[in-house]
Amino acid sequence: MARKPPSTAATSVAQYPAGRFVPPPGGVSVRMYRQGFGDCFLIAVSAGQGVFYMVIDCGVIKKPAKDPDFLSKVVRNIREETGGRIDALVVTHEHWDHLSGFSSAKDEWEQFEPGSIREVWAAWTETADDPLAKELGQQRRKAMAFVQRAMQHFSDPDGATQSRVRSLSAFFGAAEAGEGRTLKALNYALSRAKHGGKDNVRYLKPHGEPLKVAGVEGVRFYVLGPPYDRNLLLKSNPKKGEVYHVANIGMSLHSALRAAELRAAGEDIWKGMSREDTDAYVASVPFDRDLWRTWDDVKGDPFFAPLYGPRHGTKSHPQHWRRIDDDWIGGAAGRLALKLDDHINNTSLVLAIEIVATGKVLLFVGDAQVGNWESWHKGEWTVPGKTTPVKATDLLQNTVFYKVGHHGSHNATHKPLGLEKMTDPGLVAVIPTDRQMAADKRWNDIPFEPLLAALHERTRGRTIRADRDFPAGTTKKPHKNLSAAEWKTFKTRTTVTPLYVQHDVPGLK
Amino acid sequence: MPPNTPARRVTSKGNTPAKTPRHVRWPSSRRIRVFAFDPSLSTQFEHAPMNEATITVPWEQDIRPDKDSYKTWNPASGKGESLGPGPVGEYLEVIDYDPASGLFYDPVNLNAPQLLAQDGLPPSEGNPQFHQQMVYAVAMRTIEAFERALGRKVLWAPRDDIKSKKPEDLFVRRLRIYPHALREANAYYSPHKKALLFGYFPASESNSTGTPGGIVFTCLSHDIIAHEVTHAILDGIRPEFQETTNLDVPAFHEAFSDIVALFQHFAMPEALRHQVKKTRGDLSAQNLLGELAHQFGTAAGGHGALRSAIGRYEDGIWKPNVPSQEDYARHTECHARGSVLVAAVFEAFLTIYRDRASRLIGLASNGSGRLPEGNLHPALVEALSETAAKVAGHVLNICIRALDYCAPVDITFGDYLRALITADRDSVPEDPRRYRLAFGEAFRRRGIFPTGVGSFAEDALVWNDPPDDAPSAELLRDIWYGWYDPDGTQSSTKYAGQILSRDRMHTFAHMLSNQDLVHSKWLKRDDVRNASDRLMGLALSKQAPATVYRAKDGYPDVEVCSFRPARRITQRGDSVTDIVLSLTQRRRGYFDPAVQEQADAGHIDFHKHPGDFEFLGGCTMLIEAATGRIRYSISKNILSVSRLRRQAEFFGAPGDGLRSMYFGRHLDEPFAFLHSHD
Repeated sequence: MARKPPSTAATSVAQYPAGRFVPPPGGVSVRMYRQGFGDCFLIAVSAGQGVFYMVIDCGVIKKPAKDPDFLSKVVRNIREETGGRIDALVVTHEHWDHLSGFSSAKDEWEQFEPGSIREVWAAWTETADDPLAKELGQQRRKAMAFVQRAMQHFSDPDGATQSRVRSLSAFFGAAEAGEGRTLKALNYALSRAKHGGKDNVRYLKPHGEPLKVAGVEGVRFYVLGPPYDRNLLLKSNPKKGEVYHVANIGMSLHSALRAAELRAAGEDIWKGMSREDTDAYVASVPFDRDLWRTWDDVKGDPFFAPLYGPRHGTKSHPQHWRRIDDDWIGGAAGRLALKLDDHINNTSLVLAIEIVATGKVLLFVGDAQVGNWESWHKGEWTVPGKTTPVKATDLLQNTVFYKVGHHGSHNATHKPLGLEKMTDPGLVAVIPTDRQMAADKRWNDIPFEPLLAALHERTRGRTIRADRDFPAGTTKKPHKNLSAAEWKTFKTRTTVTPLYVQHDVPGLK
Repeated sequence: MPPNTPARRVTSKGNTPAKTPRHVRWPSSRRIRVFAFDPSLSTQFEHAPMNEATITVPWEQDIRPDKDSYKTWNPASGKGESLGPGPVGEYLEVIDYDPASGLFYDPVNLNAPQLLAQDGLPPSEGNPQFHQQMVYAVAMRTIEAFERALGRKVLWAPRDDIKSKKPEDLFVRRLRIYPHALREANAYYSPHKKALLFGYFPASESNSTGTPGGIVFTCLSHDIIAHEVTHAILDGIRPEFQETTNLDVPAFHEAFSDIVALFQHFAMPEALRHQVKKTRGDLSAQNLLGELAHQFGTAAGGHGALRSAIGRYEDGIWKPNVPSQEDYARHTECHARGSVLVAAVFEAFLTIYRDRASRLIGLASNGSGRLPEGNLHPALVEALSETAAKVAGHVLNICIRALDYCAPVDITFGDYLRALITADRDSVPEDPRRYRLAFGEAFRRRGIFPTGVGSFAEDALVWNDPPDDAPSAELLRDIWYGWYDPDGTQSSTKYAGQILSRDRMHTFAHMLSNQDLVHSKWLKRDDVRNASDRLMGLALSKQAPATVYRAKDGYPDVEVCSFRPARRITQRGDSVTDIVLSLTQRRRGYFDPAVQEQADAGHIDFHKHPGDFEFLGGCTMLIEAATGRIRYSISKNILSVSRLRRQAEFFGAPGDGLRSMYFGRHLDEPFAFLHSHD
């Protein structure tokens, strides 16, 4: 994107006029909104005398019960505080808890004048122009469609497996009927930067040079992930490091599901199935056709009728509790949903914002998982005018603000290649999480207690959670090794309101 | 198929019309053809002849009807039918519905004369009725192994999805078996449905023994059937083993199921002789007997069996397992940890077998111990096979009987070793064949050390005697025999008359009512409450920490989870009955020791801070039925601080893989042959 680099403070004021929300001179301020289990950050970056405004994600996994329109208030606050201009709208990955606001608070987003959202930054995985992105995207869509159909087919939607698959699918939006509300939200966000006949979307790949942002001299933006590497992208399990292929479902399951759908609808499966499905279905049944008995064949039978019973209206059947109608599809859909979810988390756009004067770094990891974290270390960044390349370790060592991955779950913060390298004594961690909402979804290990304990040690008590009023009103030092001066500084730099928690990172030593 | 006529003409004893000239009894067993291992071996020139085995299972007669279920009961005669189509018998019901295909397959009728006359259908992959026949046969034989070892009827775990407390509602007479339930490379016992679900799947392209893309049926694998039905039986004996309180608990479930499957190989005479011949009697060399799930392993793209107790393939070359003291600590995945226990038990078997076989080999080699080159003499093969089968039977018996010598919760492999040693000493006090040494050594070589035991000497390993001043348990004896008279009237317990009934439903009801009596009478006695800590590792007095869950009367709550007999024949030929009584308790656990202390003292509002996890304690008592003497009291102390801290650490650690994060620590189907995220 060729744009003439402006060099004077006057230009940046003209280019980036400050709104109400102003960072400390030369520094960066971050607002974490408190909508619940989901990410939405407003970041004010000093740009000479002006302010460069960034928004990272806008979503929540489900509407807060007390205040369903919370996200609308958030978007309104963003508009009021920035003067109605966003210089970079960042969408990290295609998950509902990061994008729902582009759907539920669309009215508020519409209030932004055309052109006032100057650019959108997204991961390279979201573009159709890249062959690898395209391939992975198609696999993803296919798998999502399967999971969604499978869920609709469950005869007992309240069964344990079924409801868990459903709650997991809430992330990528397969839970509700209608095609891909999460994708719709993403596309809306991407579309908002369209002006002047251009898309103005940057699809970012990691490593190389820091992003060129005209008029922002005191701050560098590094892209760390997602990796441009199929295997790392598919790697999510911290222990086994196995690589999964998301769309490996097989025609056998597809055709079986199609036949099951038709049967459930009371239709003739032979009329309803496509040629391809028919062939796959017949091939997938392991026995000769003269052995097949359908429900119609056996429903008058003294064996199957009392022992198994019909599919519909059978809650009263005494053997209902032992039926297995959903097990085959529940297992397949559950495995697929898990893989899909991991894979999408791994496509998270990861950004590090470095304040040049102090060298301090703010790290936003989205929901990156193992493969993504590991990949940061597999390349380096060249800063124009600097002879030694910058390594991921350098950025981690200088990190003073860490946006904790995936709401504090155990597999989205890498221990040896991540947290343990964050050695800056000023480190502050923020977690956009909500224990109650997670518990409602039965994710009882989010946030993960041992990770919270590790963060507590590493930040010496300076860990901010969206679901806690901290440090507001806390008088006692949160950690014995935190000095009174450090505690005071931290409290001064952190503002807690019901709408957001704000933390300021100064630009001068 | 109507009840077949030839079987009818030969009526059962007691039902015989007076004019029938002589009594012909029902046979005691039924012969059924199966694959000895799995279908893949039948296509191999070397293995095909021995892979078609005929096994015997108990003949089922007078099968009782289940509540609301399939009626095999004949009201006219007051007698149950013989084995019904399905097969549906007293313990099992095979229902062949394939939900992915939406198809039903007709049930096999093993009482059809055509099948009675030829030991059932011939082994075939393409005939679903043979599949039904094989799952029935292998499952029945596994059930029989348990009944023989424990001297009591196998009961399935009761229903857990209903509110009713009535025994007839809770009782599950039959385990259900779905041979074609899933389209995946897996099989599981579903504790909620009380059912075994078997999957089928296309073999991988790199499959070395079968046709790539050919269908593999898990319900045709002897090992997978035996493994899964063992999960179900174990769940019936020790339902608390579903509570994963340390890594060994789920690993034990897996290992135990593998052990039962392995040792059943030795009850297939043709296969056994074949493998003894092939290995020249050295069963530690690669052989099918020490391996599990051959076809499954290769179909998934591996080189050999899915799991093996004796060795494994590395880069295509088979290597024997070399035990190391790190084995136990190193493996932290549940099936891998379980394989350490399987290897230990199998090694103990091999040691005992080798010792016995050396005598035979000595005889056959004029004392030199060196056998001539070439094939072994058929008589030697026969003798070695018999020895192997005998030792395998002993080891399997010991392994099963040891279950009654385990605390009901929080089992570790070390505890299991102590249970094995104690159980074996009870039936064979002298140990002339050094079985117990063999077990101790095999466990020690793999780094399985029981906690709190100074040495591997037998005296140290056997469970301790209960304290001398243990409260009297005569009441338990009286309850057991139905002598206890709760109302002071002549009537005894509600089900006392049914104690000797052969109906498993009455056995079950009797157990439940006895459990109630133990709970309401014995456990409420002051001497028992006061001795509960020392005797049972439970906290039953009012002084118990506030974190121990309380009953309505303010005393700590306790659950009586089983009250069943264990019968054994001693070396001298006496029949001895013990009562196995298991109790469990629950306590609120907190990750932070300081918080725990506060909570124990009752300084915490439990509504606000209900606890980070549940800490379980429990005790299994073996009580001599004749005298009411408490012989052993094997406990997991509810008051133990070190165990509480260990459990806090365990619950605080990340679960295995992602599933545990989103789906919680409890898997939907915890007894899968392979866990889905493996």
